[in-house]
Amino acid sequence: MERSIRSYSPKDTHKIGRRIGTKAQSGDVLLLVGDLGAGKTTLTQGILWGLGGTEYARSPTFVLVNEYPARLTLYHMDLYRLNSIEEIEDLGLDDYLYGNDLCVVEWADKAPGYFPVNHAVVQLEVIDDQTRRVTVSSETAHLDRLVMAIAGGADE
Amino acid sequence: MSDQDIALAIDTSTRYAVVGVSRDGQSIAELSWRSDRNHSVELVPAIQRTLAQAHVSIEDITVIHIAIGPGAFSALRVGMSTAMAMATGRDIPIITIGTLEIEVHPYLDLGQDVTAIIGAGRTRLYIGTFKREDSLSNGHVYLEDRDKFLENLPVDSIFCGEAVAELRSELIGRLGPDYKIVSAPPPTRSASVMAEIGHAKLKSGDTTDLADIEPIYLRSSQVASAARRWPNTKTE
Repeated sequence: MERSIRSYSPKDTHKIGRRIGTKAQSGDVLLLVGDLGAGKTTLTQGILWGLGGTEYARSPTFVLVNEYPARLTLYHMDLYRLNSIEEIEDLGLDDYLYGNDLCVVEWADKAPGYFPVNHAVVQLEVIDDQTRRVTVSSETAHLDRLVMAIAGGADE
Repeated sequence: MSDQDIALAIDTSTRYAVVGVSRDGQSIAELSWRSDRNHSVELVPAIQRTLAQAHVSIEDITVIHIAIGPGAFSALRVGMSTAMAMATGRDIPIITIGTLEIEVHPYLDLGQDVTAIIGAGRTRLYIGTFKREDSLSNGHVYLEDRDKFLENLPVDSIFCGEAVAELRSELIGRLGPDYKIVSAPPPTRSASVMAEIGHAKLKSGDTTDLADIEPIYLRSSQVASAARRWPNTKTE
């Protein structure tokens, strides 16, 4: 299943994230794809608030993994600085990816095939300065609720 | 030096942790508990309590037995780094034991192949199949999705391990009336088994150099093929 929606501002992107966070369940894995500045961290921030978290998500580019307490613990990971599957394995991400919380992974497309088969992909495409196309897709029916979550219009 | 060996065993492979003290392969005291993700906090106090229960001081320990997985990534490394630190500090040998070997060892003399199963998170399993005619070190250890494993079960095998209790009804459904499943809820691994395996290894000189000690890390076949395709630079 796949759905797209337009975001006309960071505020919209945040709202889309909140909807996804509200629907997230134990063990979900979300892979974020999008250029620098497309809104990956903003979306993650929204997901955290949708989970009932109160902190501000920061980019995990340099720390590799951030952990935020919420209804499900949110593990926010970034593979940008990693150069091989071995480096990813040495981080022990398996404990999180096959655990009982929620993982949001940036630059996951660096390591196709590494992630659990049951994942959803969120793609953020830059249309212009402010506008983004947000597409959520999943090949497993179990995660259709995350794809459905973005429906309803960004200006809802 | 006395000709007795007094061993400290540590197994933090999974959410269930085990610590034991043994003399010449025979258990004196052991502690197993559900640690979940708290191994880093709970392991050292558990070692202290087990030593006290065994009336053995840390200076008496002559060898360390350590479970090297497969298992949960961080938990395993807590036990292994603790074991390596103690072996280095006291300058005593360390003996590595595969976690699935600990699971199958009690059932190896029953004249059948033995398959041990441990959960690897979500729907994944660590599996070890040990042929009855083979030695313990020749087991086939792999990572498999639960459904795939259940679809293609080893035939004529005894099933044991930490995950058999939760898979029991599915295993029976597929194996039929002739199933042979060990009826033991977790914790299923005992330090007394580590004591026996470790003592035999020590007698045969099968210690491991500290620099060569590594946890057993298994890749799924899916990740193995992903690794071959690396690097995959991003394209839109």
